[in-house]
Amino acid sequence: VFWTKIWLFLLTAVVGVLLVLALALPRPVERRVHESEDMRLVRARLDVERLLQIDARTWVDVALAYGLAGLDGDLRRLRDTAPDTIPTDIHTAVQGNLRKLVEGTKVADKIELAVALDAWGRVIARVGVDENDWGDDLSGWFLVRDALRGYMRDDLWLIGDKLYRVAAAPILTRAETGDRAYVGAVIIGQAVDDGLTKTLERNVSSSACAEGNCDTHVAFFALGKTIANSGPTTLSGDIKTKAEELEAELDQRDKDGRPKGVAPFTVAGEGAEFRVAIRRLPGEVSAQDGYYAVYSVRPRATGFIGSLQGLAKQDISFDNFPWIAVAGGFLLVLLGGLALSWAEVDRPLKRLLGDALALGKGDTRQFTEDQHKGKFGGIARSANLAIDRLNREITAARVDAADSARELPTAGPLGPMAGVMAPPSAPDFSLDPPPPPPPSMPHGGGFEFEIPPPPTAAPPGPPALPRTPRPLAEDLLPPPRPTAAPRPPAPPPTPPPSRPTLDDDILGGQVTPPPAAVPGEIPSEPSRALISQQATPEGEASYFRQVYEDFVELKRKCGESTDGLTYDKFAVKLRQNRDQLVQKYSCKAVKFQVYVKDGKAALKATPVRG
Amino acid sequence: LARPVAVLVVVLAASLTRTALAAPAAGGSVQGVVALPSQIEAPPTEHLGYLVPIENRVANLRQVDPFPDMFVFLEPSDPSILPPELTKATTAPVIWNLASSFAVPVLPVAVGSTVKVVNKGRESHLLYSTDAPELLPKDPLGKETSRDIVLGERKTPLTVRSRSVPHVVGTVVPLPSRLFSRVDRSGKFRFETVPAGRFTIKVWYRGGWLALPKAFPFDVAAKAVDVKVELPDPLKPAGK
Repeated sequence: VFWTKIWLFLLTAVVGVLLVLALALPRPVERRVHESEDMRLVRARLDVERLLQIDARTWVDVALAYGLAGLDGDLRRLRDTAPDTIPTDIHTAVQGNLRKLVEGTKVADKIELAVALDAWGRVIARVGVDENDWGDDLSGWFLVRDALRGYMRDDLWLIGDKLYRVAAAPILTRAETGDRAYVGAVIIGQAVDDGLTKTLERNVSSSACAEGNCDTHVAFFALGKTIANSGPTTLSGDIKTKAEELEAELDQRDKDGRPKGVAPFTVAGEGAEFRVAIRRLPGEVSAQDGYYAVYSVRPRATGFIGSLQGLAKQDISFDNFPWIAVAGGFLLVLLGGLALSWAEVDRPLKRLLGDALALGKGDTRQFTEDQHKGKFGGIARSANLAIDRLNREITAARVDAADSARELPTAGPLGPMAGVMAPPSAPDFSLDPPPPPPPSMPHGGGFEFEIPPPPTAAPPGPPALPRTPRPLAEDLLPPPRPTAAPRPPAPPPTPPPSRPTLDDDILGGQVTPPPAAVPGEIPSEPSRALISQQATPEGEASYFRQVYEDFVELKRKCGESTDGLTYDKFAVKLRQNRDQLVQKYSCKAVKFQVYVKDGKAALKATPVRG
Repeated sequence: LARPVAVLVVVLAASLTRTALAAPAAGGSVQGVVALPSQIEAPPTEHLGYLVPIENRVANLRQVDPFPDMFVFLEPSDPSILPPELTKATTAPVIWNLASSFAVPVLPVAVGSTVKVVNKGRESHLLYSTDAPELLPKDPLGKETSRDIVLGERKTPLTVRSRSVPHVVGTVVPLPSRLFSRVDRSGKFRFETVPAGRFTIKVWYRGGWLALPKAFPFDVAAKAVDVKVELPDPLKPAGK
């Protein structure tokens, strides 16, 4: 089993290592995926930035075109007269011209806001948003200040709940000298709305976006409000909450004063997590907590389970997966385990079972220890020891019985039983029912007393060979089969002169020798001790007690009930039988022995001569 | 009889003459113009959009108009010549209109004045000041509402900003007298009732008093005084 255990250990270790690898390996991959996704998001954010820059440049060019497109006449008049209030006719004229310009402008998106300013930043006219308001001063806006000086620039203005991309350019007029002069400025703008975010989304998403499955979304926020969002609106709150936590990072600036991008972070959406990359918006809205976010669903293939869930059919197709190698490895491991198990468990066990079967059948008397190794050998050795011990005990018991039998002549023609023991009248003893008495040994029922045949008695007819004592185990096992190579018959043992062999099977059809055939016995030491023990009432009681206990124990071992069996009744019967035997055989004592017969406890009495 | 009468007349005349001689001389008006220098340093461009401002190639850049950020102040050589009505703040608060930005970026007031900020724009503003936060209202200044800024004895400038609109910035400058005047778009200014005496003109521009190249004192009397103020060239914010 050693190598099987080693194999099992190695297999478990390999499985453990594989499990660790399965759990750990997705992590670097996951990290790489996240890094790649973050990089893609940052690039998408940069793309949004570039697109907005291009958009800003477009609007600046449009504003410059407006500044050179005929608004200068009325504004020049205003500059020259510098009135405190703007004349209505000038407002009307400028608004009309501005409207024509707006309506005639061919750009991708409609201009939603157009404002004409005089040289001091006062509103001469508006078209679009708040076009009925005029005369107010916008000179405070940074964009207006720069435009009035001659710069063209863009900005992001938060007006109400709307965020506008605005561009401004100076309005120039041609002076009498031919030089250009500044007489005001013009502002145009367009709101940041869902249309813009959808456009940006299409530009930074994969090609599937054209079919409506955009994987990257764009959103704009300012003053804690969502200005526009091309993605799930439910995410806006989470993004804003996170952005508030990252306000310090949002306000960081590059060397050129541009807002720095914030490292992507994760927000939980409905059924998915999103990676979000935010950046502070430039312009005035930057001071109004304005920022934009580019976000996409976090890749699902994260971790072991996520990797499993992310498996596609083609991943485990026969072409893409080494099924042959996996199956080969599996078979090798399986065969290795089976081979070791066969070599170390199945084969020795089979051998042991074969040995046990042969032992059971009587083909062998013991296990062959040399053929069994390891723990199977231990089992065989233990079994052999038990068999040896039983044999010794049985042999000793038979020798004692033979000794006792030799001390008294066997019973007469009626058999020793008839006069020895009367059958119990009541079920006090759960003793054997009386077997049918063999013809050669009449049986009186009740206690079974067997008297071994005297060794010298020769039955009529062909002489019977004296039998060698057999171990008890042999009685429990079926008779041995004849083997192909029969063992040479054991030489008939010469019975010892003073201790004839004891044969339990005296009821097996053998002729009971007459009592006269029993040779005279020289009382052995055990017989003397028995006679002296039964000579006194105390000794007799002690002896009967011992017999009773042995009988009860044997009944229990045989699985028989001892209900109703009491020592007093048992002792009365023993005393009666002893007295009968003493009277009949003129012996000095009777030896009682318990034994197993037909699977039940039995008792036999043997006269002991002094 | 004639002699005592004559003496009385003489004494009376002398008394009247003395009284007439002891009364302050009648004041006059002061008017003038601030002459633009040839170079004016433009304030830094703030809150840029996606593009760096593109310089117009059709015409040269226009010079920065410094007058909205400027006012002049008449400082007397002897402050005691100023009557109390010129040194005391007016009981009525000084109105400071706020629309898309402060109507005047710099607001000179007399010490002890109360400035009432009136929001005439469409946006609400939460005003604040890092100079004296306790002087500003804590609640937002809604549309068509006003808040008072009580300056008390404060004598240093107070810059007020809006948290929600970055270009809304204004400065209140407390002065020891009411002899101050903003300049108009052409740089002109005028003081109507100036007590007679010797004065010096000071010019406030973008955060402080300018060091004028020709800061000369002049006397104010009944006759109107015409002054021309020359600014440093190049003109830079005060303190630079």
